Amino acid sequence: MKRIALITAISTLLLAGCTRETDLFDGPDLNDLYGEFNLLQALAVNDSEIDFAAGEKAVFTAEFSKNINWTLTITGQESGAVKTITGFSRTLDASNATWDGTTTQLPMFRPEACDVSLTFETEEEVYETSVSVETARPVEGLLLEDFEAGWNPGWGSFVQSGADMSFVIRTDENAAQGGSYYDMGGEVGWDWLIGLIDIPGSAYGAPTFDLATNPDNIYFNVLLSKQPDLSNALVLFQFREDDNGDGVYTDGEEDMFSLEVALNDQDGWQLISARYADLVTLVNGAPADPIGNGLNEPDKLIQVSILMLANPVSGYAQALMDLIIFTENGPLKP
Amino acid sequence: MHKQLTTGIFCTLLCLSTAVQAQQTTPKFTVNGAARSIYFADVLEQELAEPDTVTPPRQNSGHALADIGVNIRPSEDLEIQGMVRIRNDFGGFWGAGVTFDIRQLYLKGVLNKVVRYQLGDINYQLTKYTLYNNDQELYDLSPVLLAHLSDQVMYDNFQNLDHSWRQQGAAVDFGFNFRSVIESADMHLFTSRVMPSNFATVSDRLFSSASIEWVQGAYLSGAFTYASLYDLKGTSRNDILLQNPVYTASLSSEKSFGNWTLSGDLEAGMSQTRYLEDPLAPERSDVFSDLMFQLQDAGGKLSISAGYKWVGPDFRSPGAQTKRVLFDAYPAAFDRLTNNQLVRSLTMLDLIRESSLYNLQLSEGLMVYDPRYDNITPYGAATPNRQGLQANATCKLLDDRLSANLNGLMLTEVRGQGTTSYRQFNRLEARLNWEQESYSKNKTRALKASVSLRMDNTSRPADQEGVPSVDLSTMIAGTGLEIEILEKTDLVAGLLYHSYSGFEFMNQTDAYGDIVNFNEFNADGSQWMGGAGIRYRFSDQVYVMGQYNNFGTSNVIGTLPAYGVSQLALLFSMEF
Repeated sequence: MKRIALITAISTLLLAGCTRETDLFDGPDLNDLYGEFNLLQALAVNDSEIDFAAGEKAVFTAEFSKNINWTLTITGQESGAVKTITGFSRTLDASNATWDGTTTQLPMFRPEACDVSLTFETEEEVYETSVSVETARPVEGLLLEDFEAGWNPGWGSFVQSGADMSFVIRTDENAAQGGSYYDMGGEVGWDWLIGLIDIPGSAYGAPTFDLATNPDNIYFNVLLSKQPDLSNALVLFQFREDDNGDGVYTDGEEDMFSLEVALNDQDGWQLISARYADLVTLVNGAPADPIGNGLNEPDKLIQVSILMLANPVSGYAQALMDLIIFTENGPLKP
Repeated sequence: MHKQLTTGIFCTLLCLSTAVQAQQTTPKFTVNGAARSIYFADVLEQELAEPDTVTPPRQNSGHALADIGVNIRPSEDLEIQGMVRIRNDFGGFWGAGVTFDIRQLYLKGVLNKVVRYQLGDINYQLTKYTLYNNDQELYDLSPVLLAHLSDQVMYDNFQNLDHSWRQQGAAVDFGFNFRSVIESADMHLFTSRVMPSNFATVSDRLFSSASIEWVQGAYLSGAFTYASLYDLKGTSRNDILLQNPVYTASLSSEKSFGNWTLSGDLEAGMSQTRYLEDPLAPERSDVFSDLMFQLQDAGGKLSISAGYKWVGPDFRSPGAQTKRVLFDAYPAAFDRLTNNQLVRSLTMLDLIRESSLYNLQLSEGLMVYDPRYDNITPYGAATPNRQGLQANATCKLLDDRLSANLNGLMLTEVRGQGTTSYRQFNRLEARLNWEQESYSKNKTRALKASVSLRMDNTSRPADQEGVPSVDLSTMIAGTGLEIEILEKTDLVAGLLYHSYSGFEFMNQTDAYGDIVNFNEFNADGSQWMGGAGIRYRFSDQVYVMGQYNNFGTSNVIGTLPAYGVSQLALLFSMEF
């Protein structure tokens, strides 16, 4: 009988240690899948006038009766820039609905009034508010040009004498960033080259550009726009390095890496970002052996050239360009 | 002449004497095995507005097979068993359709009369929470008529009555006797290869166990058991390694009071599940405890037991939770129905006779199950996320001719799924068996009859507006009859009925078994299978049987129409 009592005592201890988990459950909340949806706290923003240049951020708040897939869409009334923030939660707060001024769909936001809408994957309700951008978010990096202050006098250029040539800075509502951009276009029936821009490091106060040495951390970024009904534009970026440090680039002896962009996909602005370490040597658009030491050395970059190209038989070609900038530790966040 | 006659008689007696002596010693070479011939003639019937002109309404199938085993005993302490299966599907002439397989191969013996060992094919079983091959759905409620069919499936798939798993590996057993504290201790070591490496992405997967069974005296005994399913490092280029050890301790005791004996059995333990070198994999750890008390009279007429169990939601024991039936498989017979060739789901017809639906190996994680058959204990006693009361009562009446058995379960979840509310699981199961050696006054004519009923219910109230409540009820009823109408000739009849209705959520899990979503499961229908046949018993191990049965099913929910299959089955079975 003592042994039976022993088993009972041990069992009691064991079972006492086995407790229910009253506040936990496995899997998604059934209330999220089946529960009725209600807005418990209206959509609001912490500050209706956001000064992004001063480091301010817009924090949106709302609360629902259940977890749900939501999408917050901010649209610039003038630029048409769009920022979307998505999440699955029952609240919007600083952890999941903070806007730092960045853009999901180019162009970039400028100082302007913005419409804000909150939509849901499984509900028809739409909640709206508004916010005003007082100053646009500044971009960080080595800015080569955003064309807001006109043509850089240190740059050089060559434009073929073709038809409808338009290598000019334009200021209108089509800019991707700010109010101005560069328009490259024309028709040259005898050559692929329509025009080019040379951007030497000396235009920024030194023979070479002020870039770090690690090519894995340096990114070249530019905003390009494909024009409707034109799919023949090729934009070639060339990066010449002063491998021997003599202050000049020696053709055929030192490295020239390239990045070729064909504007033949979707219309409109797009962000082109390339890690400096991924730039390769191109000959007639095909990868080739390096010309110099074969090392991608951003600190030895002495000149950036931008070549507007098109097949001579393809007719008129055009590309818009804005915000040429080197960034560190990641691509540009427009 | 007289001398020659005397010499002849003496030699004859000497030979006979030698022969008798030879019969008394274990023969060095014996042949054993089994043979079977089975034939099914099926006719499909569908309730359709327009006739099905695509599906052939008749299907015939059958085969003959012989498992021929050779048992060799080179010495008293060494035994070698090999068995070859020769199978010929009916219709396969001139060797086509004939297969030869090695069905069994093992070597076993005793080292120095102390250590028993076995290498090769091993049927191994531990406790219900470590290594236990649970019965397939419907089996224990089926009448003998249908059990004759499912027994063939079980035999083919090594689903043994002792609930052991057929494994390939090595086992070692040895024991010690002690003078004080405990009387004896037996050690059991076992390891088997569950899955071979492909040398690239799949590592060798082993199942190993070690257990110590000790006896303290006539009234107290216990055991410690370790069982683990794990991947062997270095056997492939895959660095991710499964480790799923289970540790349990058990204690048993009994005490007699006059004509009654009170006994108690406790098993408790824990499991861990982890995938080494996989940063995305969760690490599970949980415990279980199972306590049963039993009160039994000395004559074995009445036995009452009751207990409490608690199995954590993260308790994982592949050896005890692996299912026999592959519920995500499709039936071979009439796999598609109607002019639209809709895929037919598994039914009791398939569970009873379809050998290819059965699983042969231990599985990591929890396998798919069908809640219509068993939503309370789909993984046997070790079903995770269950706690509550369990009770059982058996009694024998009318000179032991009538036996009755009553089982009950009142369980709840330990942790909710999708909500903090718990499902409630209730089961009531009753069996009546009547066995009479002779129902005739003049001749020995046996009579056996059985009735069984299981009623399950799963419920969970909706605690939020808009969330459906869980309420799934199932019933399985079976009845069987065996009556000897002529000497060794029996009329066998039986009926199995299964109904289900209600709503339940089925878990949708990711690769690691975590619940990522819930699928709605609506059930409202029934299925039944019944018939009769004649069986002639040549001996206890040899019989021939012809039976005709009818299967039918109707589902209110679903795209399949009501349909049925009438089946003529001819079966010859023998063991030798």
